[in-house]
Amino acid sequence: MKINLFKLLAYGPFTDKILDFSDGRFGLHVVYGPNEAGKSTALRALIGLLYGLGHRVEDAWVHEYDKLTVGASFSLPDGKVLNLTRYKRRKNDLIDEDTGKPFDQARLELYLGNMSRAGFEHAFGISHDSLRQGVESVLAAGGDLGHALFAATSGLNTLKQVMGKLEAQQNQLFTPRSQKAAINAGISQLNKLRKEQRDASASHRKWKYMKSRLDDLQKQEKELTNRLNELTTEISLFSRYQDAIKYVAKLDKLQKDLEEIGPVPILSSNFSERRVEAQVEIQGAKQAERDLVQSIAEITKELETLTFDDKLLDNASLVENLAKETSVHTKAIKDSTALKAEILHLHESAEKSLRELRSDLTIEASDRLRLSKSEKTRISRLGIKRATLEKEVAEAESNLGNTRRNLASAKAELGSLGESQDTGALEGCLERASELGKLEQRISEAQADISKLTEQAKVDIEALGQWTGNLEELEKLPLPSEETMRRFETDLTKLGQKLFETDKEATIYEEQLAEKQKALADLTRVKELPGIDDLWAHRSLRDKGWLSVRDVWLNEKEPDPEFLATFPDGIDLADAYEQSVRKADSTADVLREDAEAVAKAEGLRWEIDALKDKLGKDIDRRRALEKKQRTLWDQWLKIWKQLGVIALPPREMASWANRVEDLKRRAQDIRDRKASISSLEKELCRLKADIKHALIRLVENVPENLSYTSLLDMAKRIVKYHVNLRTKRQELQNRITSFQHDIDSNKQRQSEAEQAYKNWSNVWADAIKPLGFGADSEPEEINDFILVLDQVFVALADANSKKTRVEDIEDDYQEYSKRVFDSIDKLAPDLRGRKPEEAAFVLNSRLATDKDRRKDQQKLENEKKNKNSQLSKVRERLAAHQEALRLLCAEAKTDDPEQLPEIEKKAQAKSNLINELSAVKERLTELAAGEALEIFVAQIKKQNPDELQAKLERISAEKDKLQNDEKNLVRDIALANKDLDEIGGESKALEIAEEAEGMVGQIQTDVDNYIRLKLSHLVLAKAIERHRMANQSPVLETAGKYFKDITRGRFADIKSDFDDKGDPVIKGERPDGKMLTLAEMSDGSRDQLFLALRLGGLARYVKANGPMPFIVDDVLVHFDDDRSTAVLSAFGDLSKKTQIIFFTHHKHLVRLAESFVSDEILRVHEL
Amino acid sequence: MPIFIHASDIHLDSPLQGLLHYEGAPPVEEIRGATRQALDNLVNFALSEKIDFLLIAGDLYDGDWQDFNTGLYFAKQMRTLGEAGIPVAVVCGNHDAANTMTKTLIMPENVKIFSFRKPETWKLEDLSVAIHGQSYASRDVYENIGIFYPDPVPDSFNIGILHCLISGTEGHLPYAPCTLDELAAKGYDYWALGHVHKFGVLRKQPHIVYPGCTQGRHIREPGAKGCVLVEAEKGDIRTEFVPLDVLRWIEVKADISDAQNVEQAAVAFGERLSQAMSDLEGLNACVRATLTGRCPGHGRLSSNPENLAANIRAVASDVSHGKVWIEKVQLQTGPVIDFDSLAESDTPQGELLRYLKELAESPQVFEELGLDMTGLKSKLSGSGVEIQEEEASKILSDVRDILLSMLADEDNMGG
Repeated sequence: MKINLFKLLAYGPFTDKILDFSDGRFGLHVVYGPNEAGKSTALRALIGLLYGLGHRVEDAWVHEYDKLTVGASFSLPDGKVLNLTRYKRRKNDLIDEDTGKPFDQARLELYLGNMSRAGFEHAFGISHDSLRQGVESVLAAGGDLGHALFAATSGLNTLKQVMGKLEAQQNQLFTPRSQKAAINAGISQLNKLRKEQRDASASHRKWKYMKSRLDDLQKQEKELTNRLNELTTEISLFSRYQDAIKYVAKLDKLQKDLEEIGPVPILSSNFSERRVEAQVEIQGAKQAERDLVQSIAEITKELETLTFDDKLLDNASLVENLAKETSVHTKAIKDSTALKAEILHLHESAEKSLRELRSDLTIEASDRLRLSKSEKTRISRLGIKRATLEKEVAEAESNLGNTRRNLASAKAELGSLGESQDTGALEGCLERASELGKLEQRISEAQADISKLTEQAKVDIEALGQWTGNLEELEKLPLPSEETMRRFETDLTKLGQKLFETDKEATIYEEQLAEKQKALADLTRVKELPGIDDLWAHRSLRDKGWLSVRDVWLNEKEPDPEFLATFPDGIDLADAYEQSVRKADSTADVLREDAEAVAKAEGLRWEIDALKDKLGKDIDRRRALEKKQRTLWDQWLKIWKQLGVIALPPREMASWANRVEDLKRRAQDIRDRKASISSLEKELCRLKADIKHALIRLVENVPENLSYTSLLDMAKRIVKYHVNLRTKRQELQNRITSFQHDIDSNKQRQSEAEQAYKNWSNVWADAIKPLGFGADSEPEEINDFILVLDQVFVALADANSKKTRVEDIEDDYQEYSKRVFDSIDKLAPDLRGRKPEEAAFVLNSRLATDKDRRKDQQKLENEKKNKNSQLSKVRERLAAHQEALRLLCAEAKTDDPEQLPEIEKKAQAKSNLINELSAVKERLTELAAGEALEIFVAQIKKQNPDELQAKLERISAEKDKLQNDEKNLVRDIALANKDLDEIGGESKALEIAEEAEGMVGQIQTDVDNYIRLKLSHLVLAKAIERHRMANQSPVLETAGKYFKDITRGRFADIKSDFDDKGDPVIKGERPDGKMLTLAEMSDGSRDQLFLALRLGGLARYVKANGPMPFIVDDVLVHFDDDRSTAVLSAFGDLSKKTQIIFFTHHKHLVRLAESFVSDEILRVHEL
Repeated sequence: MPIFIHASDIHLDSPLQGLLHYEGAPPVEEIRGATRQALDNLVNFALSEKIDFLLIAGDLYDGDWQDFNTGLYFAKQMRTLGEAGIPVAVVCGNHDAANTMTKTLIMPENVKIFSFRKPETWKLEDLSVAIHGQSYASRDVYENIGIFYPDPVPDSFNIGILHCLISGTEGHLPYAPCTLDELAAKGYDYWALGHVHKFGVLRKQPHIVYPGCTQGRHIREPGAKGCVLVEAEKGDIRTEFVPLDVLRWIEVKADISDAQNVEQAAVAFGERLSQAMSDLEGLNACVRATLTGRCPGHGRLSSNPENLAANIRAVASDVSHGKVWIEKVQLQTGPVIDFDSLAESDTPQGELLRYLKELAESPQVFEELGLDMTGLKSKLSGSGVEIQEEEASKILSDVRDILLSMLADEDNMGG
């Protein structure tokens, strides 16, 4: 590939700056730009052109960022020219100027050796910095040959750094003896964790051990408890012994005392009390007997003096009643006088009231006017009902009046409202309009879309190329079928492939032919090498000459002119024959002497002929193929020409056709859209007309030329107005109907009320008639009359009852007087002639006195009886106590009660002793704790008190100690229990194990990484080695020549050699054969060596893959003029095979180039 | 008819694997003793459901686990069930047989450990239930012990409890191998199996069930883990899987195509994680982050795995509000660069790629490269960390990414 034109259209400081690199075959193009003139910018633009402008904004200071543009024209290996422009944009930034279409980056990269941007920069770009880096890298690698070659040919200048980095990363992860490396550290951490985990694991052995220890402790505790119990028992026994000793002594003493007292009757416990009581009672009874005999004598005497009247006492109740009644009758006579006055007053007041009611009314006549209670209630109820009835009548009248007024007002309102009209048609229109939506807007939007689409289509048609016309024409364009296009494509490709193969074959034949011809030429250069044919030709000439000699000599014929003609003019036959004989002989000699060379030459000649033959056939085949290709191509062009299309190759036309198809689809879309607009417009017109028509029927003045929207608004307003009107009218009609209905019902109510009142009047007249009143009498009047009449009747009734009482009082008094007189006659005739009340009083006094006397007599008799009874009881008691005393004497075994106190005293002393003895025995029995008392006492008597105390103290001390032991044991058991319980709690080991597992994961990741890094290192090293093996000789050979040139002969060549370790290294060879390692060279020589290697690598690439521009960025800055000249010459040499573009801002380098590089090759450009 | 719980593979106190503590990870306390918490959940669930009995079909704890605390804790929990009158039937599995703890541990009276010498029948007379089982005598029981189980007890609900591998199941050691047909032929009503860590009702006539483990312990045990609640009613058996786990293991795959760099990859992963969080019912989770898709940032991601992991962890912590661990970040992305065409180019990079391609086809790639891992191997021996040599092609593609990205980066930095 070659760059013909480099166009800095709008980039950095440049505008439409064009560098023309087209002149000559490839050429060395020195692009000179003084400092700040944008050399680096141009370099960036060049790479940007090839791989995209990237995101750097530093070059957008004259032109805006999104306006940056660079272009170029390339010559491709197939002879075609590619014109590309690169824009600053995200998509389709690379445009093929010839087609105006985006150009695939991948296709461009195919021409750029399938390299990425970085790859290209590495391989085909060189700057002073990258040169230095390369040198450093190779130097760091100890001049390793593979490294140097790999670095030089790839431009990967930092191999060593990468190798170093890989190694460092590996070492960070793992080295066998490191402590810090991640994997080493991880493993030791892991081991630590695993150990911790083992330690934290409670083994079952440990658990068993702890369990058995606990069992032991518990067993010990049990034994201890047993011993303690024994000790407690002993202590208790000896303590009892100690206690018992004093009681045993006491027991002995008491038994002795008892023996001393001797025999005494045993008296019952309360003997003394009983004896004293008996003696006191006997004495008391005797005194009471004497007192009672005297009292009885006195009562008998008093009874004999008491007397009274039995007859009077027998009629006691009669007498007492009469006396009681006296006061009653006295009061009754007094009351009757007052009653008589009251009766008179009542009569006078009744007569007065009656006269006030009606003047002719008397008490006697009034009785006829007496009414029953029900009659009175009825009159009262009727009176009340009248008020209700009157109110109902009045209300009915008032309601009727109100309803009539409302009716009249509603009718008036209805009359004032206008008539509503039918808006159905208009509403129908509005409904349609709402279904269609905002029609005008829809239409205008659709129109805008169409014009946008149409415009776009037009632009796209123009961009289509190869054809001119409008969209309609395009739509009708009958494109060939895909199959046709595919067939042409396949056929053409096949033909192209065949042609290519034929050419390739021909080239091989040509090369072989040239080679053979050269070999033949080399073989025949020193000595002509005749073939067998030559021998035959020379011999036949000789024979021909001999025949002519014979003919002249024997037959005297003329020499054969034909024979002579083959020799120089003027030669005679003899000479000619001689020559021919010599020639034939020498040919035969040569053939014999140089048989081998001859055979070789013969073989070569044969091969040359065969190759020529093949070449001829290839040419024929090529012609036939070309003809076929032309025919096919013509057919292809013809197909398209018919359509007015200038055809491109089939593959491109397929893409073209696709775009046309797309445009056709879009044309169809536009047509569909237009059709839908027109139907919308029609609908709009129809709707408008319909609305207008409907409006005119409702409104007089419909303005002309109203827009659709205004018309819709007006229609909506009208419809709304009429709908409201209809509603209002309907409401009023409903109200009128309701009022008329109300009037009817009010009238009905009024007549009903009046009828009720009439009925009442009749009942009323009937009710008050007995009282002598007319029908028109007011209820209040009647009520008052009845009230007064009732009062009169009450007063009269009262007077009557009082009169009856007076008569009763008088009757009672008569009867009483008779009874009093009868009693006097019977009981006290002395009282005759006295007033009944007085006589009754005296008689009663006499009765009271006699009653008292009889009461006294009865009392005394009772007393006497009582005393007699007491006397007999006293005598019985005396006898009983005397018997008791006798029995006590018997108990005390004596006849004399006087001896009793002495006997009692003795008996008490013995009893006390027995009690004490019993208490002692009881205590001892307690202390014996179930043992027989006698045996126990015997044991006690055997004990020595002092020994016993010592024994007790010893045992107690032992018990204290054991108790202490027990306490410790209990604590140990608790601890052991706790320890055992703790197993089975949280597992610390689990926690550690999880941490360890996490660690394993981390180490696993590190190991995986380590292996990758290590392998990367190994692979890179091996790849470098392979590269060295493959490229060593061709690259080194070429690089050696360049090195010799660049160093102006100070070095003769670059050689591969081996270092101390046997690894291949690169060395420079002095003309005297001395070899210098890279380290032994000067900086300048190293740079030159690396540059030579790069040029060698580039030459190899170009030879293998075809030319590729080499971009050099001021690589000679630090070279002196001499060496710079040498390098420029080397560039000049290389530029015969591939294009070199050399950017510099050093004028003297330009001058050097102009002086030392041939004008045919060198082109200088200025920025 | 009985209501019971069927559990297995409790692996009590088996450590969770790959939970490295890092900045922003959830506090370890929350999932400490996850297998214990799962056992607690099992016991509490049994108590709350008032079940008739509990079946544990083997592997109470890990075979190599030495901490006796674990066995005692198990016994304690069983005692709790005993106090509530719940009998427990246990067969020892391969792990239990391997563990010396099994023989020392004294179980409470409500726990029946089946003999390892011969199959036996344990009758729960009041429930008319007969449970048949046999424990493992040693870890490696490769014979079919299920077929020697006793005949069913007439008029009883017959249960076989067996730690075994149904033939044809993959990914497990073939202990006590047997077939479903063999088990079905026994005529039991329910087969309570253990050993496989994933819940599955293998057959319904009769019921043959793996309840799975009670708590997942690593990424190869993903999803909900628990026990099976079984209700048998007049010949009708109803099973219900009940989750008991406190921490769930899931793989979250995120397509990170378009990601230019680590940050964008992390964001894309965060979105996927956020969606996945909704299935977790508020549980903590251990997530394996798997990134897929061809993306421009592929080289960067693969050449600095530590940085990638740190970013993914940070995003996970954010998105999950500290409920998620990132167990591992697995990169399955591909490059956008067309390596094939680069491999065709006549450049050292092309040559490097061609060389890697050749290496990938070689059966002894590591030997060919002279990779010496002796030092590392000896360092790692016994640690449980392995050198995974079998994934040569994957390793080589990582090597390719590392080299190309380092060469490009280093050069960009230098030049």
